[in-house]
Amino acid sequence: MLIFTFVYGEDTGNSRNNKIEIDESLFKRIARDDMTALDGLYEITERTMYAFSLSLTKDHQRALDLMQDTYVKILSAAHLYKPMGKPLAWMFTIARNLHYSNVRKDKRNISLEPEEISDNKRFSYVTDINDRIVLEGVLSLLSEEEREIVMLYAVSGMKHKEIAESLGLKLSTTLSKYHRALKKLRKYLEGKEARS
Amino acid sequence: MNEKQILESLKRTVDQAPIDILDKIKQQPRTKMLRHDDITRQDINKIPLRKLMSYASIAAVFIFVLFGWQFMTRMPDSYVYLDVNPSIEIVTNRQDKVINLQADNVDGQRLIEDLKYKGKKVYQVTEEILDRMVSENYLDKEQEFLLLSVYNKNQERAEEQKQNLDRKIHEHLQAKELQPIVLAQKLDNTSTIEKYAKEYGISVSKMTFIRNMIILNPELKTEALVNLSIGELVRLSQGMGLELDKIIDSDDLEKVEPIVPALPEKDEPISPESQPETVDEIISSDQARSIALSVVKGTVTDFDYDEDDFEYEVEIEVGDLEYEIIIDAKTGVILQVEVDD
Repeated sequence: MLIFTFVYGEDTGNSRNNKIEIDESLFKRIARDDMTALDGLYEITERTMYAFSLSLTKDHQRALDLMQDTYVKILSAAHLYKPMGKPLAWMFTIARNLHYSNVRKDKRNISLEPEEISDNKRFSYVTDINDRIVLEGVLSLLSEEEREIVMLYAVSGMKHKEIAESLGLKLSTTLSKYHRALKKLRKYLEGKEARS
Repeated sequence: MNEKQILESLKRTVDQAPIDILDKIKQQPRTKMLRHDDITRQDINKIPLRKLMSYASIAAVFIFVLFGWQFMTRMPDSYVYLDVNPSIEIVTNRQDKVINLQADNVDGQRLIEDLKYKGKKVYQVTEEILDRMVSENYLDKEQEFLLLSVYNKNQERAEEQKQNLDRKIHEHLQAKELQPIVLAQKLDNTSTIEKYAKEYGISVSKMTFIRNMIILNPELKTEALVNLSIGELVRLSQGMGLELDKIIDSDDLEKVEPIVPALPEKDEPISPESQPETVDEIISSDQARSIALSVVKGTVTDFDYDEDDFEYEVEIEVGDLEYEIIIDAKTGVILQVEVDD
């Protein structure tokens, strides 16, 4: 019991130290329509996939739609999955491919909806005004890759090396993009603070 | 704000996001994909470029040498499809040698695993596939329907191939004391059917058969048919009174046991009191049940008799799907088949 509390205490010490570990046999079970395996995979990956989808779509509702499509695709292809030690990389690839294919479709059917809905409306669930400002900064200032790297690092508990692997980037690229992105963000936030 | 605060802020935001999609994911219709598509393709481990170049140069020489020969022998000529439940596609060259073999569904994929086809004649490969179908119990005394489809640009060649294969299949299976019911059809080359086949995850040949059934009875819906086996499709067609001989060639059709139960003969007195002229005879509920089950094998979840319309309504559950089959209570003819998720 003592050991348990000790370990527990240490875990909560660092807010982003809840690393995702996906057992690749989950996909095998999902392939056999084992819905508890889907529950398991979903529970472990929900927030990370949301962070990734949000980096791609820059919009809450679209991120949810993309996530949903991604998991459905995983369900229909789980039996084809070959374990290569990078389950998240596969999930990210699916999300990214789906996103690009949506973007291509959108380009063809010119959307009548106004492209920019006010940010307040989009992220109304964020209670803290400062948190909202940070998110807006990430979505408006950073490039797609920078967004992915920063969001994943903040949310998933993965190390830079793991993020690099799952995005198919070099570690050095990931690190330099991460630092450049944070520099941009800090500058932007300082500007905001100075004005307010 | 320092780095740590920014990261914590982002994490807070994402943790707060309302995400409630797990149930929706489970409710979405899905078909198991046969092979990876552009969306789900996994990265193949990258081979260093230098190594790749040496492979490439060797390959280039081979391609150069083989090209002329390949041109003659690797050009696809006929496409032969076998559908039982496993769906198999055999591609041959002009010499009737098999140059490619692939499965159009999961059962088929298991069946042709490690089957060596290179350099063999199409008849030999067909026989080997039939053997596997028999040993895996896809073909047995009770389930002997086989849809044979041939596509060749040259209609005469297609007809010739079809007849040859039809004969060979009969000979081969009769030697095993099976009486196959072979339905043979020629395929046209249309991209619509290909598109639909891909969408529903079934073979082009089965999709063609289904399309032809729908031409015979436009009331039928594709969704209701794609999950049925060839045998079930034939029984359904017969139950609905479709003239199958218009869409397929088969000498075996009369062997199919009719699912319409024999009604009491008119001249045979049923009981002295009954007056057949005024009181309509209807088939029994057990008969209706067995008619419905001969179309779709599954669990009967609901059974109703509609007195006003003289119709039985049978609901049958198969896996995630629910079929609703409406049967004319007087004739035993299937009036309607619908399917729900």
